[in-house]
Amino acid sequence: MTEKERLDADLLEDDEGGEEDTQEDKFLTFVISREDFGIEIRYVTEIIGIQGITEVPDMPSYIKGVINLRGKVIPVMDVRLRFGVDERSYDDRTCIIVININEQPVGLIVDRVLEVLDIQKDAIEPPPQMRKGKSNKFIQGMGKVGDQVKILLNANRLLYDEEESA
Amino acid sequence: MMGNDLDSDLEERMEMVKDFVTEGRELLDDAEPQIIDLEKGAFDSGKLDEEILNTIFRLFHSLKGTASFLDFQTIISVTHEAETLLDLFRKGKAAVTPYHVDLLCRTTDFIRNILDVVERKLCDDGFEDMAASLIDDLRHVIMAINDEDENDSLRLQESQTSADGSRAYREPETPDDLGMEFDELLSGVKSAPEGASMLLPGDLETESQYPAGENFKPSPNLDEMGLRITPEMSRRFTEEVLELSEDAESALLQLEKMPDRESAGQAFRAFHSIKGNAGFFGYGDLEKISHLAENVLDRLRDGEKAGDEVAISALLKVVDVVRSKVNGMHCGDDGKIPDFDQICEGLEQLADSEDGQIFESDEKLIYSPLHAEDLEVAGPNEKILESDLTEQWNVHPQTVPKDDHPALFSVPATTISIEPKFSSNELERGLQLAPEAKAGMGAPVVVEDAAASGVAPEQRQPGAVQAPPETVIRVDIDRLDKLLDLVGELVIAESMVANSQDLNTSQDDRFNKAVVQLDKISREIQEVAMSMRMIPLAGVFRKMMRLVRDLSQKANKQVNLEIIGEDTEVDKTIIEQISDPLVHLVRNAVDHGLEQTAERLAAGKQEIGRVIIEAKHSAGEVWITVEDDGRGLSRQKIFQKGVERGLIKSEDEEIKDEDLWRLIFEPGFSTAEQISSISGRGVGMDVVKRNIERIRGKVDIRSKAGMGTIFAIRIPLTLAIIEGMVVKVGANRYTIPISSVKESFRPSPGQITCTPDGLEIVRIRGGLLPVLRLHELYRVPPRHHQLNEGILIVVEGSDSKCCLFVDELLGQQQIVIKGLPGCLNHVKGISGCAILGDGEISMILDIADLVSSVEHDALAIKTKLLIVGGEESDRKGKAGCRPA
Repeated sequence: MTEKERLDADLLEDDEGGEEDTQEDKFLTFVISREDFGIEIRYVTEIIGIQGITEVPDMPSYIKGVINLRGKVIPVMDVRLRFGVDERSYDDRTCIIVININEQPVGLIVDRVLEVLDIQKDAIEPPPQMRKGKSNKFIQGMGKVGDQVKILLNANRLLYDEEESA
Repeated sequence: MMGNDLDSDLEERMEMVKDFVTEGRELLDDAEPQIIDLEKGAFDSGKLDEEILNTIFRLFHSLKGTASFLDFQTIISVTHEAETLLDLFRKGKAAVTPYHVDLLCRTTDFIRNILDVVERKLCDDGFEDMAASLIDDLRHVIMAINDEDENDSLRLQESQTSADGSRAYREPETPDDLGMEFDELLSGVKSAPEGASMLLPGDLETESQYPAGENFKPSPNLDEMGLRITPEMSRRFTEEVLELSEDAESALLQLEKMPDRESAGQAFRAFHSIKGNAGFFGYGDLEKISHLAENVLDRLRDGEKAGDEVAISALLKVVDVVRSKVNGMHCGDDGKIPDFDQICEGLEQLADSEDGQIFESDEKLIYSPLHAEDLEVAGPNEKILESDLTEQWNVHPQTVPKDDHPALFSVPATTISIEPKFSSNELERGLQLAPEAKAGMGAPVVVEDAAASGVAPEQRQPGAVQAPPETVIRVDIDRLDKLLDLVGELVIAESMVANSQDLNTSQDDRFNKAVVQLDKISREIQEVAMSMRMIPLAGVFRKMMRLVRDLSQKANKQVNLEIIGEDTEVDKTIIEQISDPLVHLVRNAVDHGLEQTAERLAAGKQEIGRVIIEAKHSAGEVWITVEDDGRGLSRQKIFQKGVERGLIKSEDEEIKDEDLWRLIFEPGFSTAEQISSISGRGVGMDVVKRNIERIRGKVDIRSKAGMGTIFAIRIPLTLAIIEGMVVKVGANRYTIPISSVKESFRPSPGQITCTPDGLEIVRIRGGLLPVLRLHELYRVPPRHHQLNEGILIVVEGSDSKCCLFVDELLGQQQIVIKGLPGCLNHVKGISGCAILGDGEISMILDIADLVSSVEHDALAIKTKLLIVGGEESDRKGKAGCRPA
């Protein structure tokens, strides 16, 4: 029985699999515009403050450029622009969440970082099917925490979707 | 061994064992030179130096004492036997022979190996079998001495078998490269014919065990010796065998071209080493096949057999078989060699054919060609010396019947081959080097000794100091990469310090000096670190020799392959990527490029086609060109095919040659009417282009109908660190590789011309250069819009120049190239990025890309003002008058 439950749970999960137990059901939440978002903690390697970004020509607008992370050059993406939300100037609460997807570190620029939350699988609803707009595809699910809803992002899609659809 | 009360205090025991291992190693280090001294003394004066003997005795004895305290039975038993043997010498019951010395050295090597294990495991288990065989040997010798039994053959044979085993055992324990080096050195001596090759004990004992053409017994493999093959070992085995087969291959090709003893010997050595390795790992097939190849080569080497095509082809086949087998093993495939029996049979026939007397006279046995050569170099005095020695040692060739105990010859002959070369002082010096080398090597000292004397005989002049053998170690590529990464970080950190405003304001003279010094050192480290990843192209090029040979036979064309600049070094990753494209290019050159002989003659060309592969460094790039003097690309055919496939339009007849040639890189593009077994499917050039582009290289084609074709591959050195010029455009900083920068200047308004299409042209010293505004290209708001307010930098791309317009120059500095993150893909005009001294990132401009994009724009607007520089106009001129 338990085996089956676990199997179901795995299937519900993104098909990444293999995460450590301690990181399961944990999401790093952050704010963009007025909404709270969450991203699976296993992708996150670190959070740094905003720093000098070097522009890279010929890039989509949401790729702001590259930063030097201790000798490593990593691209940074403005999540606001990725979602089509208006750009906003960076302030001292603007953060870069460094996530690691397929061995490739990427920085996500977010308005501010909130906290790490435990969101059980049964508290996650599938993404709404009715909504229009292109940002929908980045959503992995809607996490209910108390009376709030956190939009849980699919980190993979955030990065690679453009290429897939192209 | 651990089951005693010492176990209760493991820590204490560990401490003791550690001491023991250290002490044991020291004792061995001491003992080895002494043993060699002993031998030398014995040969110099004919009697034993008692003092040395006693020293060795004492060393073994102390080893035994300490070992017994810690209860290491294996060591005790072995040292005990060694002692007994030494005791016999001390009592004068026997003379020391190289065989004895060999045995003693094996003992020390063996103990050394045990010590290594003891250090790790705290016990000496698992060596019982080895010890037993060594003890057996020792006992045999002791018994032989005791019995004063002159019938040595039994003893020799038995001890050889086990010697073979223990030698093989030692190999994996020691750094392979050292082993390899020495193997090669050894064979330097062995390159002389059979008689001379018997000079060496150890390695050659194996050889004499299986004389050519006789029954071949696979050597005992690991299972019998109770050893496990670790993945590491088999990886090394694969690597080594592959390397060896490459050696063998190039030697064989050389041999075919010009039969000479040296190449035959080289191939022989390679096969011999393969055989040894295979035997050790228990690959009977490989062992047998290389043994048979060895036999054939042996005949070739002795000039009994012509190195004809049949023989060489058969041997090359063996190389292929060995290679594919080893590659198969690598992938876990342990399949049988197909046609194994056939190949073996063929080889046997080859070896057996033209059976003749190995040596015409006995005399030749000792005055082997090796000697003769050496003596020629050494001069007449040496000749006399040698004959003196021969007399002194009573080793007149006639005194020993030829075929009875081949190994016995080794004794006097080795000595002679060494003696004339060194004064006793030099020999001593040479010998002092031996123990160090030996520590890593584990081959019998006598062999090293002889081996050392076998190094490049022509270099040894009487009175010259012997150079220590070159040593190489294999390093994991990951570690090198890590090192290179760190060096990159170091360089960044260094320039951060040097450019630091806080530190610089102090105007401290000492600080500035220190910074300069730091800069110098880090540059040097960088160079060294980088050079470690660089390997010569020779390996790849040699493969081409083989390829051309095979192709020319298949296509029935005579081809002369010229290789130029095989010493050119490029990064290892490039070597890996360049091999495939080269194969395709060479194939094309031979199959499509070169005409059949009749056609060549009709065209007034030389009968033999020429293919030239050349590599050279040029402007921070490596150029590899493949040139043939064949029929050249057919403009007509390619054009037709291009139109057919819809790649170009039929009205494009004026298309430039370069653009037309580019079509052949299209997948599936082939003008061949017939698909031959070699090429014609139109896949090859596609592969070439893709692989080259993967390493950010470019392929250019030059071709002239009836004259031949040149493919030029240009690849960056992928040097991780380059010298760069940092420029500023608006708020952005870009880096231009200094190798591309020709000059920079601020133009006066009069120098600038603007075409109606808006293309700006700058006149500089008679030349006209198009201007590329970086701010327009990258859409950044610049500080200056007027060309005469900013700076123009003249950059040179592949073979044309243009000017880049920037706001200002920030200076020149060393930059570490970092690739752009993978997900950003390829950005036009950007080859990577660099981390500057202040930690910020700057994009590195891909000048060749930029220049060619300017050219394209220029072509698009068809302006004739663009003819830049002599080369450019030449090219255009040529293109113009080329027959369509």
